[in-house]
Amino acid sequence: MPPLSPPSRAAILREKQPHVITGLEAILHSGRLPNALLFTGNCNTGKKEAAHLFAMSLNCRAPGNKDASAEKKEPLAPCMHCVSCKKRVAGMHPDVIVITPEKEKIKIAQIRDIYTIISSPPHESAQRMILVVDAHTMNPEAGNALLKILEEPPPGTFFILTARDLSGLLPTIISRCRHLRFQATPMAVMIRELQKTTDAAPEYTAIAAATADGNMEMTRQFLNLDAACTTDWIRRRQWLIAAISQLIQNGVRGITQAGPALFLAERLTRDTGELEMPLTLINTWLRDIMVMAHDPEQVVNKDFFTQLQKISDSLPGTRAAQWIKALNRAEKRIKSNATPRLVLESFFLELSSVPTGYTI
Amino acid sequence: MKFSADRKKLSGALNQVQGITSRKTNLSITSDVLIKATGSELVITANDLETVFCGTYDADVESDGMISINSKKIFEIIKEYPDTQLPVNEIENRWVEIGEGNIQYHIVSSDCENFPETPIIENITFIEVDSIQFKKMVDVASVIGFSPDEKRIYVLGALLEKVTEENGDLLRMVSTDSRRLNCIDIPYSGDFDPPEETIIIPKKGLSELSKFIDSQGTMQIGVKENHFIAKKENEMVMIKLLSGDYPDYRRVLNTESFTPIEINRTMFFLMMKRMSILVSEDYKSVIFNFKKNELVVTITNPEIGESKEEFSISYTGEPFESAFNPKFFMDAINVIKNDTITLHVKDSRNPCVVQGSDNTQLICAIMAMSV
Repeated sequence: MPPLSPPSRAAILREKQPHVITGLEAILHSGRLPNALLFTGNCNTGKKEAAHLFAMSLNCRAPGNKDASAEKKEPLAPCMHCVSCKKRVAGMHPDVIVITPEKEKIKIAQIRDIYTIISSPPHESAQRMILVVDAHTMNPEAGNALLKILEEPPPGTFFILTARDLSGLLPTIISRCRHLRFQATPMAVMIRELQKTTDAAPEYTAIAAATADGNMEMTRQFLNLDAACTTDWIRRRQWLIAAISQLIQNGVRGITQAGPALFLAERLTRDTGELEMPLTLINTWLRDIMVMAHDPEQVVNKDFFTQLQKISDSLPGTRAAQWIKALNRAEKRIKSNATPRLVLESFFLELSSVPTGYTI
Repeated sequence: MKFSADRKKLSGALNQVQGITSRKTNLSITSDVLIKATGSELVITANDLETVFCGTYDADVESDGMISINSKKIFEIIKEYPDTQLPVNEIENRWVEIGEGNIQYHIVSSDCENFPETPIIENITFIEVDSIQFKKMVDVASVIGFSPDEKRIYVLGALLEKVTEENGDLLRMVSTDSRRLNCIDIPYSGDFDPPEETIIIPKKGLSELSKFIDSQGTMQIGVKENHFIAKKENEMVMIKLLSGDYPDYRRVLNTESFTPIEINRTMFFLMMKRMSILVSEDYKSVIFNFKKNELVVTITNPEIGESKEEFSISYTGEPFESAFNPKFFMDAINVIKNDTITLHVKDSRNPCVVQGSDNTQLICAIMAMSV
């Protein structure tokens, strides 16, 4: 059960996701609840909090909230004091059913369990919420099993699905949900929050936040703020950028050496699991090379500005775009259980090869 | 909260709820019991979100209050406590002190506000049934179980309905797992007017209910909105109903064109028992060969061997062959207590309907297997 937000977090959510809050309040106002809502957005953009807040507001028993349709300005404001709200805050409400991925996948058995639960009416609240966290991790079987109840949930039951984006979801599921998009936390807000806890330079905090594309968890790891993560990411980033630049520059000069490419692949896959961060770093670096040619202001890795400029000048603009495509392919392959080391070897070899049709 | 209560009485009450509180749910608080002390009474509640038990017991209450405490642990403590009176005292920060003098427990309790709500029972008309008959009804229905990954509502639950016969209304319970079906009628007094036509009570709740029915006196039962309620003097069980359709079971029980065969109960039971020795997971079927005045029963299990028995019966119809699971016959005969039982048979596609010879209130139907 995910921890619920204390009251003040509701206000933060309102500041961070004004569009979502407006959308949810419109639903509460109209009094017509869609069968299913789909929340998409990056990690840490408040999807789960919003879902819980929504369910709390629907079922809040405080006298003022009973007639939410009246002149109340902010219907999405549960009292936090009634029995219903308190149980939800404690994560002890029988009518909040949360389905989370088991071993990174939502399986069909978990969806089938929902069928058993909803065969009887909600226990004590008017509207029971079934929250499917990270719905994009559902395999097609589980997704298809969910379709039927998503279309016609029994009275007093609604669904909220959260996902990073629409790409991993079955189109038939998307079409059955009202879609609300959560924006990535504005960089300024994120940097302000992070600056309170870190002594890193503000410039570096900005780089980390931009590299992680607004993903708070990843930004914290880049700043070495995550106690659970033992890697020194500040140093590792510098090393990785130097290694990648070396590969690219050698390739440009026509010196294709398999050795450094293979070594890099070996080095990155030595500790299993932690590939998301280095790949994100490489992705940002390649993006910067591409952006440099057009709008140097927008570069993320400002601390390596001169180096970026050098690489960018020596390459045709389309080259970096090809590499990004290759990187996306590599990421996809790793996700579908290809051997990471082989995939990375092939990618780094491509990085270090002489660009075709280009002479120095 | 501070009270002291008779240890035996408390232990008996907590014993009944262990089944409910040991069921795994997605809320940890369902493994607790809620103990509420008011005036001179204790109200003990257990709730697994499907079955709710609620009992009221006398106690010396010094100060009112409510605690939610782990059911298994408090039951074990009460069971082993040496005195006849058990003092319980809630001290600050949800700590509960049990015992006094030489023996003292400090148990941490959870926030009783998180305990699931007990359904409100008001404006409901109860009917009265005989406890022994009702227990039999519940037990007959629970004989037919379900596998853990079962999802069909009519297998997960048993149907309760009112049937009107020549000599008055009866209460009927039907239970099935799609391979066999038990149907039992019992008389009742009062006015039974359920709000919905099909009442499906989960079998999980029925097996808990069975523990709580006394072997004498009467019980009151009723249905309100989503709950089936059974209560006696100071205790009450509420079971959340399942919503869904129940198939038309009457077709299975219609024996109009069937041939009745009377058989001695014990002889037939022993034969089925001998047959079931050769049953294994993959080979469950026993072939019944109905011939003129003779029944030949054979089982062939390629893994073990085969067996054959002949049995004289009063059958004069067309000879035919049919296959059944002998375990189902044993279960059926176990609940039918008459000395002579009647098998209603027709052909290899129709079920075998088993009944006590002079008993129309309990019918067991066993579906034929295709071989």
